[in-house]
Formats: sequence, structure tokens, C-alpha cells
Amino acid sequence: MYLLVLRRIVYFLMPIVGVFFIGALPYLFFSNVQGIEAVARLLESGAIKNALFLNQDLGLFFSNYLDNIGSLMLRLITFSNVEYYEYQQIKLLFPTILTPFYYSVKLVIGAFLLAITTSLVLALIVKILPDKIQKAVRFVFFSLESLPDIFIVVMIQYSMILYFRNTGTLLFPIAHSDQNPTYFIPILCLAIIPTLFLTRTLLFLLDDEDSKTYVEFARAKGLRYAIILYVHMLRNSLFSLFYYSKTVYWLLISTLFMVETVMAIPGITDFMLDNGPTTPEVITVSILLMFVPFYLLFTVVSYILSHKLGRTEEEVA
Amino acid sequence: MTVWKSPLFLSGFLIIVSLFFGSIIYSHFVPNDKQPVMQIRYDENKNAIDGAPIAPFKDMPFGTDRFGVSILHKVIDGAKYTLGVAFFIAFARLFFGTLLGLIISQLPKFILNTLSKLFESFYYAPATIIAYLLLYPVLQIFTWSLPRDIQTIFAVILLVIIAVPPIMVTVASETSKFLENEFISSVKVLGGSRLHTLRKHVMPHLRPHLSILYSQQLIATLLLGAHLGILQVFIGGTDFITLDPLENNTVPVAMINEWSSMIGANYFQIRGDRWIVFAPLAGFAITILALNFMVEAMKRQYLAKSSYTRRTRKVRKVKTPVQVKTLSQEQFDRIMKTGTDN
Repeated sequence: MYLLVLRRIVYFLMPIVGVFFIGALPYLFFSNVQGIEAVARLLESGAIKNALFLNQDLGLFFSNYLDNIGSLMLRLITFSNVEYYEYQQIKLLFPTILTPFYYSVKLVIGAFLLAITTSLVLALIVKILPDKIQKAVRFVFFSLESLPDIFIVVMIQYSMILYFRNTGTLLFPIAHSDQNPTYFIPILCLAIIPTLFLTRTLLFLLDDEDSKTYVEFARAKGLRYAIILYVHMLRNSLFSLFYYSKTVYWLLISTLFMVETVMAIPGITDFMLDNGPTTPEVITVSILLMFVPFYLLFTVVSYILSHKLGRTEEEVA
Repeated sequence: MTVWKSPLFLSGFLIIVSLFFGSIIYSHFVPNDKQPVMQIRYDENKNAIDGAPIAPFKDMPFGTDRFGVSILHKVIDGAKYTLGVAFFIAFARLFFGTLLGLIISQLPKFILNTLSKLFESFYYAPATIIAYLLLYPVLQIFTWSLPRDIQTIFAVILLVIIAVPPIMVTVASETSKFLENEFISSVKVLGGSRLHTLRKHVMPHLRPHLSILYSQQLIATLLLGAHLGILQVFIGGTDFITLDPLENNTVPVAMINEWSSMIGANYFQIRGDRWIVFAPLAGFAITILALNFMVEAMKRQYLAKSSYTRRTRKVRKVKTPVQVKTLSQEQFDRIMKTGTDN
């Protein structure tokens, strides 16, 4: 029993340890990370224009790598603050990083909720369309989903500019400024690809649900198809939809950084990209911040669901 | 090989092939020193009316960039670099990933479990940020202390390594799931060695999955390249061109016409001369769309038992009700008496 609990805990902690391994990668490949940090800081402050003098070897430096992982873990476990460099001064990471973190979390959660609601509505509408139109609509959804996120983000931003140029009214701010923080356009950009993905997944799940006997039974009893769809099939497929939430999270995160770069939003990925080269530890801490809460949520919910529905994780994965 | 009959697959495949080989053939006939350049546009009376960048559909299809080079030329010329690098990187990722995955599948099971949990973090850490963290110093900070070819080789190796762990875990878990089949124990009883099992049974099973994985990795590589381009990290190498010597106004310029670097180097121009960004972006969109068509067609073909096939709804609709026989009084009586129709 204790062994089982121990193994569960170890498995649970493994991905978190993995983040440390990723975050410390510069120490694995570069012989002189302190040199890079110093030069990056000088470049940032404008003291030098190039790095002609930096002598650097590429290779694999395992002892450096492991040392760094160990020291960073120790620092985080003992809750000592990590220092980083910005605007020619050393700052403490912890209160500072929370502002961009909250901004990003707001964007991600907003986009997630928007995607869920939109895809529910879209899937239910598509499902009751006639077969021929349905096929065409499904194809359009698939094609749109295949477009690269960068294309969609640029197109949305550009269409806002175009609208502004033609009418003179700015619908929503397309770039961030401190007086006028932008929420709607980034959330829209973030939500589009997850919405299409969720709609398609939900449609698959509903199709699967279609072949089950309870649907036939309900129809035989004389219930209208729409009612079965809205009440029973939807409820049953929503549980399965949860298992795709990891992919949705991944889609959101990989687009988040695009949106933040293009729209100059001071979010967490922007923070990582700004301060990552001067302080590699920032990357580890930021990924942990973004990752641990969601990971906890996924693990707990999937545990509860599998307990309730009586199926194991391997079955769905 | 029935996937070749699917129109979805064929159209995607044709687009990719014609882009890649078209680009190679094109740059054989129009090398970079013969590229179409138009710095200033004149009307009939030799009066200058327009300067570079020239807007699309005025003498130059797709317009020109700031130095007067035709965008159409740059996009066609760049296709072979973008696609070629992606083909190579995706292949290397798959090659090492499969090799390691097959090895891991032969080791005790807890190793696979531990590794798959450990590498789950790759799901949560965006690949772009890891790649940026490692490539930015090499391609931007100590650009002078390393020769150019080593920089490019390092970039390529890094882009390969970044994706190997997830592929490795996928292949290993797929293999070990397949090895649980009952006939595998018969293979062992009949004296098949591990290598034999892998070669004769696992590989044929794995091959369709690998071809899907390859196309997906192609897409991932292209996207990663585009993202890095936006962050001003160019895989083909970076040059700096000084526009205005007095104000120290330098811009990074890619050394080759690679699409992602074309987007990244010109992104700030999107409000004015947008065609410079839109043309390579459209190239990306078309390529990734074509690749996704291929993936979808292969999924439908190879993973036919998953939810990707939608037969269910049709079956329900086509099902006709059982024909009701109208019986005459005489027939009815006979059935009631004898229990049969005739």
C-alpha cells in the first residue's frame, strides 16, 4: 500500500522534474553560460554592439548541467527567491513575475472558456444540419484548423487594421499599452484554433455516441433526435471531451507566445523571452508557474473521473 | 498503398512536391544573381513614379521588398530551403526517435513508464521557447566566435533533439502495446529472436503510424521555424544591414530567402508594405494545409477503426423500415391455423 502511494507520488512528480531538465539545457550545451549572460546583459543595456570577444565552446557538459539542476531545485524547495537581471539591475523574481503571469492566465482561461462554449454551440448546430451541408461544413472546419496559428493571428490583426483604416473607428485595441490593456483580440486569437479542434473532437465523439444502443432505444421510444442530442449524447460525450483538455492546453500555450509577441502583451511568455537569455533560470520558474497549476488540475480531475466512470487512464489514452 | 487513391492525399502530395521541385528547377534557371530587381518604377515618359517597395500587381507580381527584389522570386526561391530543412529535420527526428523507442520497448517496463512521465513536461513547455533559449545565444550573441557552418549544424541538431523524446515515448509505448498481442508469444515459442520480432512483426505494424508521424513532424518543424523567425532567430544565418548609418538603424536580414526569416525580418512592415509579410505567410499556410490533408487522408486509411471514420450516422439514416406485408383474410386464417405463410 505504501509502495503504491509512493509510486503514485513519484510518477506525479516526474513531469515537474522534467521541467528542470528542460530549463537547464543551456548549461548542457554551452561551456560558458555566465559569459553568455554577461554579454546578453551588456547587449541589452546597449554598452556593446557585438560580442566579438566572447570565447565559447559547444559540447555536452553533463556535470555543469546536473549541478545547475540541483542548485535550482534546492533554491526552489527552500523557497529562496531567484534573482534575475533587468534594466541594468538585479531584481527578485517573485513579486515581479506575478503580474505578467496573471495577465497570461486571464488570457488562457478566457480563451479556454470561449473555446468551450463556442465549440459546444457549433457542434450542436452542425450535428443537426442535413448530411450534405454537414460534410461541407466539416471540411471547412478541418481546413481552417490546419492553418498555422501565426497566419490566423496576423490575419486577425490585419483585418482590424483594415477596418480601422476604412471606417476610422478602432473596434478593439490591437496592441497592448499600459493605459489601455487589451483583452478581447488576444483571447479571440488564442481561442480560434482550440475552438476548431474542440468542435471537431466533439463531432467525432457525438458520431461515436450515435451508434450506441441507448440512442436507438430513445428514438424507438419516440423521442426527437434533437432532444436526445442536446440532453443525452452531449452529456455522455462531455466526459470524454475532458481527456482532450491536455491537447487544448498545449494548443493554447503554443499560440499564447505568438499572440504575446505580435501584440506586445507583457505576459509570461514575453517575460520569458525578454529575460531568458540573460537569466536561464527564469525559463524554468515560468514554465513551472504555467505548468504546475494546470497539471494538478488535470491529474485531480482525471483521477476523479476515472474513479467515477470506472475506466482506467490507459483505456482512453 | 491505397492511400494514393485518396484525392485528399494526392492533392496535398502534389502541392508539396511541385513546390519543392518547382523551386529547385526555378532557381536553376533564375539563380540569385539574375533575380528580377526593380528599384524605381517609371511611366512612359521616363518619369519616376514609384520606388521600392513596389506594391503588388504593378509590373511586379506580388510586389518587391525594400531593396527592389521581386517577392515572387524570393518566395519561390525560398521554398526549397524551407521545405528541404523541414524534410531533413523531420526525418532525423523520426529516425532517432524510432531507434531509441524500439530500444526502450525492449527494456523493463518501468523504464518506459518513468521516461514517459518525465518527458510529459515537453507537452507543457512550448518547444519554441526552449529552441529560442538555446539558439539565441548561438545565432545572435556569439555569432563571431563560431564559424557559420557550425552554427547552422548546431541549429539543425538542436531542432532535431528537441522533438526526439516525445517521438521516442510514442514509438516505445506503441511497440510495447503491440508486443502484448497473443501471437507474439507464439513467435517466441517458435524461436523468433527479438530482432526478428522487431523486423518482421513490429515494423510492418509501425510503418503507417510512422508515416503519419513524419507528416506531423514536418508540420511541427515548419511551425517552429516560423515562430523562431518571428523572434528574429533565423536558421539560415543572419546578416545585419545598416539602413541609416548616422542613426545606427540596422536591421537583421536572413542570408537565404527562407520563408520564416522573410516573415521575421519584415514583420514590422505589416502596417505599411504588408505584401512582404503576406507572401511567405501564404506559402506557409498552403504548405501546412497540404500536409494536413495528407495526414488526414492517412489517418482515415490506416487508423480506420478510430472515430475518424464516420459511418454511424449514415447507417442510421439509410436503414429502411421492415416491409409490412398486407395479408388477405385467407392468408391470415392459414397463418393462424398452421403457423406458416404457405
